[in-house]
Amino acid sequence: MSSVVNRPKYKLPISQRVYLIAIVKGMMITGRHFLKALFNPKSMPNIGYPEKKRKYSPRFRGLQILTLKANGDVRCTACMLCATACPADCIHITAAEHPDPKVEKFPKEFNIDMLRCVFCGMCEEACPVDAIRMGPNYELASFERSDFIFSKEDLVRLGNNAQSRVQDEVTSPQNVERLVGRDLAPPSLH
Amino acid sequence: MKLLAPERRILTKGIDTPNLNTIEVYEKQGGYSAMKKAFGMAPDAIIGEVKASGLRGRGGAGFPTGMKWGFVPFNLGKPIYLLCNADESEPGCFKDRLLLEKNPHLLIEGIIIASFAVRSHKSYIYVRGEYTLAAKIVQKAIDEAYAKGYLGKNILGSKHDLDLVLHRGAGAYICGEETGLISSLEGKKGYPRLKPPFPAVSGFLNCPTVVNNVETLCTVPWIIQNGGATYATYGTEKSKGTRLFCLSGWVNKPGVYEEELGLPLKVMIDHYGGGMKDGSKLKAVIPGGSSTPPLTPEEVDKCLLDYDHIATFGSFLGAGGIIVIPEHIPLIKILERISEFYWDESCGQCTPCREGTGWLFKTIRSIEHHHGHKEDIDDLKRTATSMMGATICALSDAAAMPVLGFLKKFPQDFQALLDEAERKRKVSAGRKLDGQETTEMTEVTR
Amino acid sequence: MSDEKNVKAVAPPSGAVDQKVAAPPPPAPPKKTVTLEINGMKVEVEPGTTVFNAAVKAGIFIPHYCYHPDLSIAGVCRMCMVEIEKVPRPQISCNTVATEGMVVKTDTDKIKETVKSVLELHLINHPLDCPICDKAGECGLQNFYRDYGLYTPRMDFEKVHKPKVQDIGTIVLDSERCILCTRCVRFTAEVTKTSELGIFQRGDRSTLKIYDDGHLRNDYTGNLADICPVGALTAKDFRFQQRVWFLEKTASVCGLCAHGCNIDVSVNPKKNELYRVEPRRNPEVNKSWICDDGRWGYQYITADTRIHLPKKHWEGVWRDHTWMDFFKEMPALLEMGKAVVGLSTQMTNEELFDLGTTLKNLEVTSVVRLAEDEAVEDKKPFDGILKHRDLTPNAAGFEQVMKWLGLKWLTLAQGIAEVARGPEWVFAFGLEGGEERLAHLQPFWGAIPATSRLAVHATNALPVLSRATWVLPNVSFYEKNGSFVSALNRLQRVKAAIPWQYMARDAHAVALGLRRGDDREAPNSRAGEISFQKVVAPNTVSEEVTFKKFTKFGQNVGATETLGGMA
Repeated sequence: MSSVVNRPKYKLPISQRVYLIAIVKGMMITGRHFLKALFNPKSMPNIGYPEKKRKYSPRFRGLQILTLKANGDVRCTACMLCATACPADCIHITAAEHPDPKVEKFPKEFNIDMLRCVFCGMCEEACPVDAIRMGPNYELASFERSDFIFSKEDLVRLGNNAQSRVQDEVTSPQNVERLVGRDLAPPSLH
Repeated sequence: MKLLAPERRILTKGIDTPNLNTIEVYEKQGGYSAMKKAFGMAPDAIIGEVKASGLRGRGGAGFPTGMKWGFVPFNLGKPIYLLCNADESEPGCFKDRLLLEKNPHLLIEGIIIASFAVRSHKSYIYVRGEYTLAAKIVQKAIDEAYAKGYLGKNILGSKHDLDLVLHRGAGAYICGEETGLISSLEGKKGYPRLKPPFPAVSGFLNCPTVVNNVETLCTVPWIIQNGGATYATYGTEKSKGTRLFCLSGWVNKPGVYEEELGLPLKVMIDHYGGGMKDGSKLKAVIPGGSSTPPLTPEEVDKCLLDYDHIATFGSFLGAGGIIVIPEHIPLIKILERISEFYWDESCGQCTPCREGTGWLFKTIRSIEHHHGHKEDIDDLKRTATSMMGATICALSDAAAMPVLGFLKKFPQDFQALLDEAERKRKVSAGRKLDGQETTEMTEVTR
Repeated sequence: MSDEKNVKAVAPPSGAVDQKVAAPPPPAPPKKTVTLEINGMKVEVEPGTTVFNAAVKAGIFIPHYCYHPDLSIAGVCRMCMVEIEKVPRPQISCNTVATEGMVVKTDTDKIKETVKSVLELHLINHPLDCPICDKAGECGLQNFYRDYGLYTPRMDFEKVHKPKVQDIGTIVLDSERCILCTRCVRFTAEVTKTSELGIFQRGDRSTLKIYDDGHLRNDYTGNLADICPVGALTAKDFRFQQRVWFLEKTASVCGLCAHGCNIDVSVNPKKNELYRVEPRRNPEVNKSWICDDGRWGYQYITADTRIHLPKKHWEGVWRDHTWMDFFKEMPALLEMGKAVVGLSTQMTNEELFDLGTTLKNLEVTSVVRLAEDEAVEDKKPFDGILKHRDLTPNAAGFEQVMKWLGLKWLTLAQGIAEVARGPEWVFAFGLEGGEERLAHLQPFWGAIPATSRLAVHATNALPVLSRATWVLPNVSFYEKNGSFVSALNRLQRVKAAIPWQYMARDAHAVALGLRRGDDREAPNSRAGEISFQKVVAPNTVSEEVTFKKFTKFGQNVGATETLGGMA
């Protein structure tokens, strides 16, 4: 069953039918902010990106990074667990035999398709050797689609920027002891 | 308790006669007469005599010898082998060495009789690699026996042929195990074999094989000479005959002593051993070689040396190696040495033994070095229990039994070490809180 | 038409289905069986069967490492412990013979505890380098830890270290990962009888090593990687290529020689790339083994020499063509007995039937079997294990199919004489593999006079192609559905593991193209399956059998050959 309801037509008051008052009100706000930004820029919430950059929390999870061993090699052993865990199927690893038999296996290629990545952090969780982490970087823009496929070198470079933080957190003995409760070497296979 | 009079001895009667290891002296003592008597008997009658004697294998397992001979299938058309196990390597045992070095012809005579009984025409003596003197003496005795015609074709016109070969091992404990010995003799690695098939059916070169200990074979001539029933009058109801006991450790007169089974252990230590050295207090006795669980002083006072009575104390007569431990030697050191021995000697075939012996040894060593944890005792017990009966041969049991035995009978000794380790750890932890770096810390960290 | 045995065995396709070969008669009722009870289930087995095999028969899984159905019993891993009534301690089931009235339990708490502690002992000196171990995902230690372990590790001493990453030929040996189950040692001692591998040292220093630090010297080395329950022996070919959980297996049959070994082809379905070929256990054909040639012979399907497009050499120039061009031209070429057609015995029964039917309709008279005549007659493996001299998989099937068709064919020797007479056209269909595998065709190619034109349907480039007029890309047997009849006269199913590559067409497509003058639209068609059900199955096994339902172990058709040499 349906019925038709007649409603009385709403009429705007005169103050609103003349738009000028509202425009002036709005321009006053704009003008106030304009003058504030001009004479007292520090009070404004904006920052002058890209010249200035915002400081994020150390727990920010941005673009993946690859961490390094003490000798400068990537820590990754190409176990493919991150690729297996990845729900977006964006990690592509090609493993190869390392000339050093103690290392045995290493990633010859390690590509992440950042356009597919959903930043879920599963790769970080799956990694048994703490080789991949969600890093502090968030700048992801380019003119070429191919630039969004991050190679091993790109990921290491991203990691190098954040390396001081990684070093501090993982490898300092105090932290390790606090985290695992006993004196352990940093997670490594060899 | 009456002691065995020297003239009633079976194996060691006149053993100190000079040059007994030559055939002339041995025959002068009445040697090889049992062999001649045996050739006049039917082979089955010999097995019957041995069965009647109640002789049990002297290698450690104590399996009735007559029964073992009775299992051999004579009609397979395959040659039958008689192997003499002279690979005596259980720590604490040295009785076969005495027989081999002093009276090799007794062994050869025993082998001839046994081979006649089990219709074997090829026999090997597998001598432990380290027994160089014994090997030399036995080889000389074999040559003498060949020259006399006691070995070879048609021995003394009995139509019985026997070739006897002396084989020297290379010093592996596991080759003293029946099937390990067979593998080793075949030229393979001394790995014990799966049973079934048992050696009596398929042993050396897949042929029926009888493996007997030196002492067992040396008893056979006496049984043939004097009859199984006479032998059965020695010893107790269930453990018949005499045995060679190897007394070692903290006693005044260590050595090999022949006694009837059923002798109180206390008498063995006090009378034959001449009591504890330096008047030390007794702490424990290992009654049958390193693989048997120890006895406490209270148990030593009650224990009789026979197969069944000793089992009521949770130990075994084994190969008769009695090791006397005084108060002042830490048990953990003895246990560590025993565990190290089995870790070293495990053949590595079965996982529980290969990995378990190493784990036991490492744990015991860490306790000994005051690095133990309080859960170590439970860990040891669990590991040792899981090793019991879990492998092809008995080496895993042999390694686990002393561990379980020591932990069960002397828990306070081990607890004290763990408490000490715990105390040290606490001290170092306290220092660490004070911010002091100590060298002890590294010691304690396992 | 040399094999008289097959005449009785195979009926012509025209309606005479009642003559088809019956399934082998059921074995005579066994004289005596032993009944035992496992986990409350009554199992009846032959006397002498072990408890382990009785449990397998009852469908009960018992964990194990050293037991392998095709090797002798070692009894060293101690994982297969079962509880037997009236026996005080758990016993290993692999060496315990079932006796009448035995009551066995495999799922009691005691057994679970025993297996757990034995597993713990297996793992205390294992390096646990699963992330870099190729076996991860199909490793016995991982699987049993999940099923029976799940304990907190208690061992915190330094593990025993042994040599890692040792190159022993086609295999990489990691002694540290080894759990000393001795399967590989027994394999080299019992199957290949070369005994390269051995356990050195004793106790927990026991190390799996290769004799004299040399290389493996047998033709079956790949099997070592399969039978190793852990990652101690890994195949170089597969090493680090792919994680096993990305792979899917297709049960097929090896087409690289006449033995017809059963294989599993592992393919990454996302990439449609073939990564490895493994034996599939078939006790009547290949047991658990395949030779290295069969295992690693798959490389030709991705080799640079693979033919991608149909090509025509005309007026001195090679041009890429479509299949349509060939099909339009073809029937005219075949007419009037001017052509000799060679059919490779590398084609499936179904392909041969389809192509044969078309040739028969076109009244082609000279059909040549492109297989080495003497090798085909040699039905036994020449090395006494698995390898045949005949490198084509379906010579026996060829004879049968030609019989059904009533098509007369020539042996290679007769074919050589035929082409030497200089026909206008010579065709060779269904060739697979490179020059080495087709070396037996050298005399055939050599006999073709310069005046004759040549059309070759092959997977890979051959030297003879330089003088061909048409070069047509063929499909490899990894990409085909159909069936082969092996030298043991066993009908076995070939299943496509990967789709057709490039512009390759199988003989079904060629046959249909010839009939209709048209290129078949859907690649990887179901033509093989349809022909199997319509023709092959009714003539060999049963009308009701469909391709999908046909047993993956194959069935003997015709006279049964014994397993040559496999002790």
